[in-house]
Amino acid sequence: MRLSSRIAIILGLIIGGRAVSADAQTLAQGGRITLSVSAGLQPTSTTFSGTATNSVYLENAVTTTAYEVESAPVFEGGVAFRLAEKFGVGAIVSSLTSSRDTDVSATIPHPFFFNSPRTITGTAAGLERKEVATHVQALYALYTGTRLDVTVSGGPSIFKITQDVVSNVTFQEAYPYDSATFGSAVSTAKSKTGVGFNLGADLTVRVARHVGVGGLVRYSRASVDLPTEAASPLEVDAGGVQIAGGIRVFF
Amino acid sequence: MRRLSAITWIVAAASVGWLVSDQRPVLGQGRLLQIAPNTAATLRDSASTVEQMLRTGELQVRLTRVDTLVPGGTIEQLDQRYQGIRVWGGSVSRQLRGAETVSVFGTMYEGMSLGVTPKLSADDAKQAIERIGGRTLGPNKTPELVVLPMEDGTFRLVWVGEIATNDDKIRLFIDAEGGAIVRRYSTVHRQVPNAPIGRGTGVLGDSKKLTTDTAGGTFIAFDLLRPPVIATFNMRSNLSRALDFLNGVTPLVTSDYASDSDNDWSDTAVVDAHAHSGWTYDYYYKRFGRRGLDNADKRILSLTHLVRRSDVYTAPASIFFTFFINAFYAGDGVMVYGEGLPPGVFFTGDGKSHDYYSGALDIVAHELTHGVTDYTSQLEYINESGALNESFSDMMATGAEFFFHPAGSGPGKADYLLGEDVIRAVGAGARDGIRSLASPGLYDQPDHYSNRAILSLDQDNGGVHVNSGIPNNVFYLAIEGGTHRTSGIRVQGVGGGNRLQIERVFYRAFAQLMPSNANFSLARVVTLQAARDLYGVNSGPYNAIRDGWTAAGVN
Repeated sequence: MRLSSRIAIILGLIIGGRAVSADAQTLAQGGRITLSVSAGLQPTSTTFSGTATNSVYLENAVTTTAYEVESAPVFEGGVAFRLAEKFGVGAIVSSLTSSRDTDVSATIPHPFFFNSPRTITGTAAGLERKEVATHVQALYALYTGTRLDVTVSGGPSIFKITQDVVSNVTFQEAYPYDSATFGSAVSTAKSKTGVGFNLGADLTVRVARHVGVGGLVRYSRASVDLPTEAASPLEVDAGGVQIAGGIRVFF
Repeated sequence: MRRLSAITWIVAAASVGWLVSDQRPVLGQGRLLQIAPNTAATLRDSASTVEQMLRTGELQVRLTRVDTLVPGGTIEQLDQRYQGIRVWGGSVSRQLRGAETVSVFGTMYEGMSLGVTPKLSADDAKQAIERIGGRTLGPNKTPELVVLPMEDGTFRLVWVGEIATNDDKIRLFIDAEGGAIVRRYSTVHRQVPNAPIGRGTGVLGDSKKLTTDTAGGTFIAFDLLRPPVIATFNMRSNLSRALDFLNGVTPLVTSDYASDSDNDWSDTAVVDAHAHSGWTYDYYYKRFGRRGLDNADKRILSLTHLVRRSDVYTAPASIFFTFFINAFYAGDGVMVYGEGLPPGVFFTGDGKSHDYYSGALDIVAHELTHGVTDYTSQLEYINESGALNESFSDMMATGAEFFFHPAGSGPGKADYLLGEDVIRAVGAGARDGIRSLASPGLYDQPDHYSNRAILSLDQDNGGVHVNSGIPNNVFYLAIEGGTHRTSGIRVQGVGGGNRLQIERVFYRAFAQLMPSNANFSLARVVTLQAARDLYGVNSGPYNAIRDGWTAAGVN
């Protein structure tokens, strides 16, 4: 236990350091507790659009942003407990950060006339997306050999999503104001927590008595409604397919 | 030698038929010459004279730019010089196509006789400007020595410079002899992105935006977004004060501005006076690239509520016809709008109800176009030139209406009637509005030269509001086409979708090429020249205008 405490502290430091989190879950033969640290990729991209409405010249200026969350690295760490020969439970914390320039268009009301909007387009630079997910898992050892373990898992996921949301744009205009030019996008980070699910599989190869290496594939998904300045919130999907590999430590 | 060439020009003008006219009574020693050659021969002479004056230094090229309306053309702006010193306001515009001079127009001063060695140095003038502005000027902000024509016809050698202060940018003319301030005015072209925009209800009950400003904790009808000063005043039925202002006795002050506490305006006369003034400025800018009345963002001040509607029953006829059922351009960028009649009341003289006159965009555009004419052709307001003056205002008024309103009939719709949005038929036989470009005869106007009214000058200045029906109908036929009601000649118009072509031709003719004493026959020549400049001989617009004049009996 003393050793495991040390390892837990070390892993805690690693995980708490920043974006690391870790894991792929396995039910290693001969141990009741498995700690895992993994790094990988979420190869899928997600697109969604959002609008923001602001009052300009007595009318609504509508800003439409085409968000895209690209393929991004994932770091995760977790712990699993074997409750029976083939069954166990675990929890993983995973983290993903993505940053991307995003297309923005807006209709800007005319200062002189109703219903005569000008359309401007531009780019919102470096909109950041962070997903921190806690995957609670039921584990089942599908195959357990002397050196190889295959485990499948599933359960609820709690996502905290932080997204830079474009809330407004700045623009330049001059008489006769029949056109305007894009200045910049005004964005603010919006956060919301939501519940989804996860399904996955882990393959671990034991390389020493207490150490193994493994790979995992997981699909997780949650949808949250991010609060915005617009009348309706911004519906955002989180998660996706993740592929990762890392170290397993057994106790 | 330099004076001699200028005099030679004048003499030549007199002998070969140039149009040379004084802009103001000759006081002191100066005269302002308007130059507008109207024949090929005089154009050649004027082109030659310009070349000669360029060689002698009496003219100097200030600006050369590509003619955006005529491909392949260039337009030069030449400044008048007196012994090497720029004469303020003396300039010539020369239209070139390659090396060929297409037109020459200008205003130049003659009769100057003054020394050009200043007693006040440039540094002294600069320091004077800095003292007045309360700011320091940079090393490149050196005043320019110019000859300034004065209102009384004399000339002064002055230093001119500009200085930006906390709330303005001022142009100052400092006497180069004694250092006195000879003239000063603001040169600010206002562009305020965050200017307050108000909402107003117009005379027709329509909702429109108003460009406003704030002062003293309230909103005032002062346009912060368009380049010129456009302001609307509420005279609060104080006709005496309004007249004092028009006569230069009393200035208008902040409390005279039309105002509203929450920027949601319900004074319909004010709303439309303010909005329609801005729209008219927009029309000229967007259609023709013209910057206001004088093409230099001359102010537009609108006076509303000079009288009280309820006083109409006791008002003398002169007041009634001037300030109740009338609107007029009072000169110097000032517009006066009639109060109209109380609801439910109509004038038995014409069988029509009269609402606030500012409520009709075409009335506003018509009157402001008189301001444009004042700063361009200065068409003499008598006889045929006066009818052309009136007609040009009707044409531009109609153009503005079609620019902003959907085509149709009835209030708020674009048509070829004048004033129909606020002057409505009530009595039997009466018709909406006051004139029709499509059917002048319906409003007792001739549409054919053979039927023109020959009146004395004390009768409508020789029929300026009567005979305007003839060119008005030419304008209409050139756009819409049709068979002339009197001559029966058919005209192929360019079509409503191409009205821009005819508007541009007539604008170019009337605001750029027309001499001040033109008659209908000369107007035909000038408009065809403009059509040729813009679209070529035998183009659709050229033929439509030619056939329109022919149909109207003007050859």
